[in-house]
Amino acid sequence: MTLSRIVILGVLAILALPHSGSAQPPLVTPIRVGNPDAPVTLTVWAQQDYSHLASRPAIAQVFTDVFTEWAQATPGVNLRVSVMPALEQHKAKLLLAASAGRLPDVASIDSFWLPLFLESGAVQPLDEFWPAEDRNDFLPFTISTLSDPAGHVYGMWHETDCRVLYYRKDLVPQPPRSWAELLELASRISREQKIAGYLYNAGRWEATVFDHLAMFWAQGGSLVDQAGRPVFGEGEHRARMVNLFTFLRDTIQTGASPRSVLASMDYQQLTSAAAARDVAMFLGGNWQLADLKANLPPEEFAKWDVAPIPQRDPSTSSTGTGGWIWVVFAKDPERRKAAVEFIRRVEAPANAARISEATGHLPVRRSVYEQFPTFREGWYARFGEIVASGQARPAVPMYPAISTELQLAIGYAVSGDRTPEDAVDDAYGNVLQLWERRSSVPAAHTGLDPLSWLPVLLAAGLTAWLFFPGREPAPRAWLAPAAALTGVFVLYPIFELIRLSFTRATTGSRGAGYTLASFTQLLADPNFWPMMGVTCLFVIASVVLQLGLGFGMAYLMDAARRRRVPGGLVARVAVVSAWVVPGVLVGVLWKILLMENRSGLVNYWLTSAGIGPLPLLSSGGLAVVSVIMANTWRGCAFSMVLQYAGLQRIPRELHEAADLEGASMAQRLRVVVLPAVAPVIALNAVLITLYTFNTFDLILPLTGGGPARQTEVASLFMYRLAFYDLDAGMAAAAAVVMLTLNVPLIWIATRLASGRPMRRAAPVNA
Amino acid sequence: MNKSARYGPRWPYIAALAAITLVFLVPQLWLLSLSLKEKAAVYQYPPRLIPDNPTIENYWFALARTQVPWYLWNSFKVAFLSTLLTLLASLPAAYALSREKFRARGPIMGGLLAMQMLSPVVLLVPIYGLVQGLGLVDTHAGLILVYASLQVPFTIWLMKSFFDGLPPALFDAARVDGAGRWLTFRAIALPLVGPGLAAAAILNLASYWAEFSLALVLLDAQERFTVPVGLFSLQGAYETEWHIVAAASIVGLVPVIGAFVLLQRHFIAGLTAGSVKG
Repeated sequence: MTLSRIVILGVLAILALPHSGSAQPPLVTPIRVGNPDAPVTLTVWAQQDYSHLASRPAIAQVFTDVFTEWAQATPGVNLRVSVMPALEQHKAKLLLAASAGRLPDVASIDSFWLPLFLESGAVQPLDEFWPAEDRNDFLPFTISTLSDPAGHVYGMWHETDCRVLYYRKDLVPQPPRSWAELLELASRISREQKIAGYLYNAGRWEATVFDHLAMFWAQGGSLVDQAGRPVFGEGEHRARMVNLFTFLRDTIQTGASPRSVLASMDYQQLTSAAAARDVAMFLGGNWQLADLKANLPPEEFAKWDVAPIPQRDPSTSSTGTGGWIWVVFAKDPERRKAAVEFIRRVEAPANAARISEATGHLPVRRSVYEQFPTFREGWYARFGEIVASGQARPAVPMYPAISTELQLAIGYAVSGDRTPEDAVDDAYGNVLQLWERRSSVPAAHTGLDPLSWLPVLLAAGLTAWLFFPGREPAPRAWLAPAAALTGVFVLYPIFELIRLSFTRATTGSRGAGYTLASFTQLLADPNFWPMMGVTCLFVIASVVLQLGLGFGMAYLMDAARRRRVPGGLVARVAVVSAWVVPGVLVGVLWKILLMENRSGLVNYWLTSAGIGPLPLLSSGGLAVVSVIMANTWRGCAFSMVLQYAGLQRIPRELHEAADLEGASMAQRLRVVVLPAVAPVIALNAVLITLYTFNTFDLILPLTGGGPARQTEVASLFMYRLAFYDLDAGMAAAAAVVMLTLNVPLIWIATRLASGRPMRRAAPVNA
Repeated sequence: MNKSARYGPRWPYIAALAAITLVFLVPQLWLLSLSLKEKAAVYQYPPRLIPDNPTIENYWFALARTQVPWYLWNSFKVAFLSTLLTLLASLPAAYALSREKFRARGPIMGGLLAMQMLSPVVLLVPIYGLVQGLGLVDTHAGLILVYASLQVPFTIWLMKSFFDGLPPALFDAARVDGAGRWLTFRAIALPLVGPGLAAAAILNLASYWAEFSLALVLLDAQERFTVPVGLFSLQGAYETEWHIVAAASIVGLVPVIGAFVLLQRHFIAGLTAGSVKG
């Protein structure tokens, strides 16, 4: 049997193939850095674009050099480097690791996450091994932001950045200083040049908020008060936030900006618009300069310049400064010392200068600006002036939640779905509710929580009761392996999930007291039911399309096979190749295809055909269509293959009889085909309904659930709750509600699955 | 009468198949095109499907400077062993549920279906706690156990329908000959559902290959990442080098597409053999 041969070959391959090793171990390998025999090994969770594994060759080279020098000087220590996925996924992983006590020794994190790790005491102070004179070389804000009241410093800033207005000198002779000037100029350019006057981030991600906070801060606004309580929706602060939202709404209403800003979810989209010569001004980050230079021919690049961010009052200025930092989690003094020495070496002035030249970010050491002329001239001098008015995010644990709400609110205001006032007030209401929920968290259980054993008992009991019933001669041994696996890894997590839904557990810390608050808040949430509506639309449309198209293609391929037409296999492989692409990649791929500036392929074709360009990701209705199309593209293959197999079971004679009878297409479908494939279609429908309900990997990179919440399906909603908002209790409650709502579906599916066998294809009556 | 008279012309079929092929391949072709472009050509206007100066530099980078070859190996190992474990646990259970009559059978089948309704996404937090409690975080063993368990319900369900499709007379004959349960299973039932087994194995392999969120949460060390996690970590916090990601993705995808071309006959034959009782 070929199958068993495949199995044996696979096992042999896994046993036989060793992991790579070579005679002369180099000092910098992708995973191990340093002397392989070193007695101390530090684990490092790095960022791809700040390590020797960067996908930009220049950065990779600098870090390879820096790490090699470190390794030569430090034979007693080596590193095991792991490059983490960017942004929220990295944060979620770190928090889970913190809850499990599995944090790496060293990590690089976004500076504004530090409060999350300070709260739990996981992050270690660096000052013991970091002399004050070296600390004084760093820009003051990088030390003060990362210090606690006792004066301990908890992070070392890599580099910083600032937000600026990029503009094309040939179209914008004088950069606008105020919002009014910007709107006037940008809308004129849009009208006259038929390109975007002004672009900015307004999709569902952190930069949408942080890029614009400068416009709030310059008016004197504050997000939180001294005690960390959110205040942006009260009094003067509210008025300032409403001003900002009104300005953003006006960018669309005056035609200064296209609606596509609502789909702008990474800086690359701004760079790409500039590269496609499709924009006159955009609000971007200083590091994009290097990218622009790489993406544009020199004469085009020469047209670009930067200016401070336009403000409501042109006499004020502000810009958001962020950046990533090194933190040390190692508790053992020996390891902690080795860790601090490693990051100090990487960030030594000469290295910091080399690195910043490669990354295009701004150094944070005074000595780098003094000793390396590059950073005093040209572009860096301009950025240096702008960054002088820089402000970092407030270092409070509430900031990520505030940002989440403001991202949505900006989406609502820009799309015109809500007035600026309503958008601000709603966001503030939600943030306050969360603030109260967090500040009233009951004291965590210390000691034994008897209820935490309940899920274990339930899972064990249910498994025993179902699979090992007392009196009857059930085939126990036959069921045992499956029962053990599902009992431990499926049933127990389900019961644990139900228990969590009655707690205020956060992702990363468990065991808070029991409450019904998650359910009451969830069901009272005005967004919950619309979200369920979007989910139903997404599921029903995807399932119907996948079934229909899958059947159509299967029928065509079967007909072609019977006629011995070539090309069936090629077509089948083409369709299936869409199915094997991992969901995250499908989302990324479709985002590139559907991009709304001129370099997006689909919009380019639509424009050539005289239909477009269309707001494929930035308008709510079309974004839903795009998400459904991408999911259908991916999922059709499964339906097609299943139904193609079903069609092949129809005896050849039946088709031949139909041919002889001269049956019409409709008759053939009704009499010959459908009776045979009906059970396949039923099974298929059940399977893809289940599958589509759980789909979020594709939507996350494609739209992130936006614009606003218009493509946020239930599984994405839960993922965001658990891993972006870190509200494990609420996410569990949402899952329990979903499960309850799914009960009828399960019932129908059980009926379908265990129902009477359908009749075989009925013979054609002659 | 000759063939074309009986069936009508062949060209509409060829045209339709070609159209399907093209429509479904556009995104992959664009990915291929990106992977052959220089950085400056990635956002070129007008967009070009065929690059002006194609280069294979990106592939060298993906193979030599990224970990994609290791990710491939990890994915293969995890998907293969998970599938093996899933089948080992599911086959006897599916057989027993198909052949034996006992009271709990109905509830078990319902329960298995209900388990599939739950998205693994919502179970991530409890699963992480469990795997951590077992000391299996950041091991392939932990990931394989979780994967296999989550697919056991579906696989039992699918395999049971294959066993259900076998003619009862066969089992009567075996009983008359004095064959026990194990012998009947191994010597009679299993060979007959071989094609169905192949189909179930391929479905499992494909879903393990593409799985992202569990692998992301349960694996810490880069040397253990699977393809989806590895490709995702190529995206930067500030910017993404799409031409590199594209080349790495192609490297990560080609083996799976190749495997499907090789296995598709078994797959379709397996499903044809009786995915559903009929």
